[in-house]
Amino acid sequence: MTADETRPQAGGSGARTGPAPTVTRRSVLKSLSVLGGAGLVGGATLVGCTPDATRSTGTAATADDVHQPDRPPLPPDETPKGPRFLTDQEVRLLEAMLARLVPGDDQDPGAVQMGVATYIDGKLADFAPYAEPTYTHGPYAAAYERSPDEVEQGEVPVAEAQLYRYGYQGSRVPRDTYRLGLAALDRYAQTRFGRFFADLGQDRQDEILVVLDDCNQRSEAADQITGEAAGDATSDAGAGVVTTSDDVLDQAEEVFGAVDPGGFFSMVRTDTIEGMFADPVYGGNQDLAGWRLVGWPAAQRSYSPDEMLHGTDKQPRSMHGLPVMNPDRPDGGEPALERPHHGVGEG
Amino acid sequence: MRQHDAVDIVTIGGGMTASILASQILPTTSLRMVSLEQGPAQWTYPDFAHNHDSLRFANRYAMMQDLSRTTWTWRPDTRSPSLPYRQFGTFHPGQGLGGSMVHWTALTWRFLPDDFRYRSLNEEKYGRHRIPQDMTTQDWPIGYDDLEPFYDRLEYDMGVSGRAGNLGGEILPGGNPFEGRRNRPYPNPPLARSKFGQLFTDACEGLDLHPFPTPAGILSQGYTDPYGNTRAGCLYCGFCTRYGCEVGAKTSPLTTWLPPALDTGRYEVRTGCRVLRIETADDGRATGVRYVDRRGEEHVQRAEVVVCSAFTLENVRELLLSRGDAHPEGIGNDRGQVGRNYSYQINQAPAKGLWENENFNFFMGNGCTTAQIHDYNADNFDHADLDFLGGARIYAEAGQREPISSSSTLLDGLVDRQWGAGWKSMLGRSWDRVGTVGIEGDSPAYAGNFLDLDPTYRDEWGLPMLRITFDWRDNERAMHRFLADRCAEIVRAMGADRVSVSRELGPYRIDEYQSTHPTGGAIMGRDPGESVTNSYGQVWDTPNVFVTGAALFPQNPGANPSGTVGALALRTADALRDRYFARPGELL
Repeated sequence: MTADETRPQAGGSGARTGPAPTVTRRSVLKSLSVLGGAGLVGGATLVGCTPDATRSTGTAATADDVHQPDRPPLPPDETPKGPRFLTDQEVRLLEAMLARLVPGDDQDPGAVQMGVATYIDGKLADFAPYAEPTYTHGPYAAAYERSPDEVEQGEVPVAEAQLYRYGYQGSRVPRDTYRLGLAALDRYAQTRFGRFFADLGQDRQDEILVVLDDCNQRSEAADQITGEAAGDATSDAGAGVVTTSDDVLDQAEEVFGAVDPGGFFSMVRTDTIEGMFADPVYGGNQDLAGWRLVGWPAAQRSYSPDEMLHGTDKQPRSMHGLPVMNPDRPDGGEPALERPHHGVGEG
Repeated sequence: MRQHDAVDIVTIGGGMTASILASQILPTTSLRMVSLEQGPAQWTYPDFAHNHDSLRFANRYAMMQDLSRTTWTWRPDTRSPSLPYRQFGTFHPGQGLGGSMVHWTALTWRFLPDDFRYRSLNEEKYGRHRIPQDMTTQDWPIGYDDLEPFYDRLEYDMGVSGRAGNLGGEILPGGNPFEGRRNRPYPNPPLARSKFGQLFTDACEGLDLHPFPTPAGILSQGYTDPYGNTRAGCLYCGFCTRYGCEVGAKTSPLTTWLPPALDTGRYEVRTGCRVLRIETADDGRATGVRYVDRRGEEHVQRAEVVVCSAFTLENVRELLLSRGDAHPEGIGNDRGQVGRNYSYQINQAPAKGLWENENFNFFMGNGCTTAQIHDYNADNFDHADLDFLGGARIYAEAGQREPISSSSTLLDGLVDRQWGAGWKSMLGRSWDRVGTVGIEGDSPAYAGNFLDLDPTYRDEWGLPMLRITFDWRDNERAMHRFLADRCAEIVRAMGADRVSVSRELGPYRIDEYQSTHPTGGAIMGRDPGESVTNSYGQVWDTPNVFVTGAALFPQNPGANPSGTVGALALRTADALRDRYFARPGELL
């Protein structure tokens, strides 16, 4: 990645070497003079820029106005369409699971209606192995129950009850966790109820997901959380309560085999939350349904102190609806905040 | 191997302290300085004129160090194996021009006068027997009064927003009455207050506590700093921690110290460069650093003075990696002091409330648009009848909430299952109605908590990773119980309809974010037998090597470190500029 390749020509020094700047889709800043200069002039009384105030007279921003810094990971150029990593059958199974994790219908969208499966498929297709920075070299940890000798040569033995404290230590990449985990989910549904997961009734499906959730909870020392009504004695239980018997959890782990059922559940749940609430450019959160669910106006340039105390009428807006900040650059304004400066460059 | 012309100063890292040194030393001298930064260049415009993409910045860590290339390992104690920190959890060191201070939350504290004499104060007041056997806390070699002028300069450089509590000895209403005596008020008024922060303030006043607005390195209004940089006030957009600020309201090297330093023409930052080691001559003095650029080519940059100005953990690691005939255990480690007194911070939210009919607009503002109390920090309260030493700042949850990173745990303690129809409907109803009162507690030093090189894991350049050996002790567990009860009292006083309290600290775990405030490992002191550097960060056994940053802290108080990191860097800069280059040698 060289920064120069996707940047408009900035005013000033031009001291950097490298290829001449070329303008790309991401860097096209057009129809933006309406916002010019708002706010970024000096003086002790200045309070930010207020681009929203100028919106009513301005040209609506379009996708082409989106400016992204070049630093990875970048959002996809286009919204993924159709499964690219998962098979159609895997998508059907995943959606059956999503429909229980976050249920919904057309009136009240859940994970399926929001397009979370598309989000997850896109994440798996785009990132091999990981979407976030991850150290992937061994040796890897292996849990032991009684003695470190249980662990094979080349693996680092860790007491089973301590392993959760070390965070993510898996050697299995998410693509494999999904592929093997989904297959195991069906295997487990067959073992418990004699049918594929997607063909089970909702209660049965929930029963299975409770087992997976409890496998995950059991692997951690549950924090001491007590819930209570205000000013009252302890009443309702908190999170982290395992309600499934050890025998049932052991059976699930055995049927899942190579994949940890709790880890698989946790990964799907985390990805579901991402898919519900990430910008729609990533494939989920269709019609901004996730943001509407929680009442988040999402990408906004500013709120006033009054809005902080009394709320806002601003409606959810995706990144592509956001006016570009400081669009009048590079031709004017204060140089202190801008690149390039002499003296900074790749070594 | 490429050999560069010698310069006066080379720094490992191009972040906060490097830019402070450059901005103070270069303009009035003819000295030359080079910084080697592992990440890319980045500027407010156009790099942060970005879309508010919380997936990319919160969950995919766009501003952070690339752990796939190099990371750290951790174990709870010496009996347990160490394993790599494979994905982000406990802390978030950044990379790129300006370093972690570009994505920081910007709480800007002066440590309390008592913080600088943790050991002697507790011994005098409560007796030696109250210091646990393996606790290795020690007094700082300087006191609050030594740092006051530098805190003052830093606040005016940054345009800190806040309300003074102790101006020239006079206690002012609405500020922090426990703060040290300050000579000037903050340069800017406090940030706008949030609804939740206001509720916390009212509740604390009702409990006879002393709430005050968070001192923030974020401008509450337009400000022109002493270098002539003119910056805009905060827009309260809600995308702050983990993001670069698109208007430069959040102070960073990019907004403040880099422009005057680069304007001299004698400062160069080389990005994409990974330092391998500090080079030394036969007499043990440093001669420069060896590094690799993005293409893998090796370079040597010779310099009169080498400054370890990277993140805390990497500074300690560079010292240990720089082994040679003169320093067989690494630079600064001739007396086995490097790695000692590694400490951290107890950053938890033990009390959570649900208000059934109140929206708080948590998605607006930033991490500083809230209030604090210091009534239970340090020795601001009597410990005679308590089973622990130290304390914490207590604060109301601030703004900048977004659903991707908050929804996973928001309803813990409030619903049984964190999924399903019940979870969904409660999340929809309550996402903006659940708030926490949290603590940032001090972390004393212990003999069993330390840093050294990992015997197994190596980074992309084949160098051993730094190994962290760390866990909580009884003192912190007892402190947490006490503070959790105080937080719960406040949440109740705030009128929550439901309250969930987590009293137990639980074992330290590397996968849960607490704070990017690891400290120690190259601590400052008065005696080379119990420290790595003097009070200027000058390494005792290699006096032309300096360390900046929180690795110098003997132990970690209950407040964010950057204010003190900055004040110490200004003090070191003055000493280097006015004294060291006139007469190289020990600065005493």
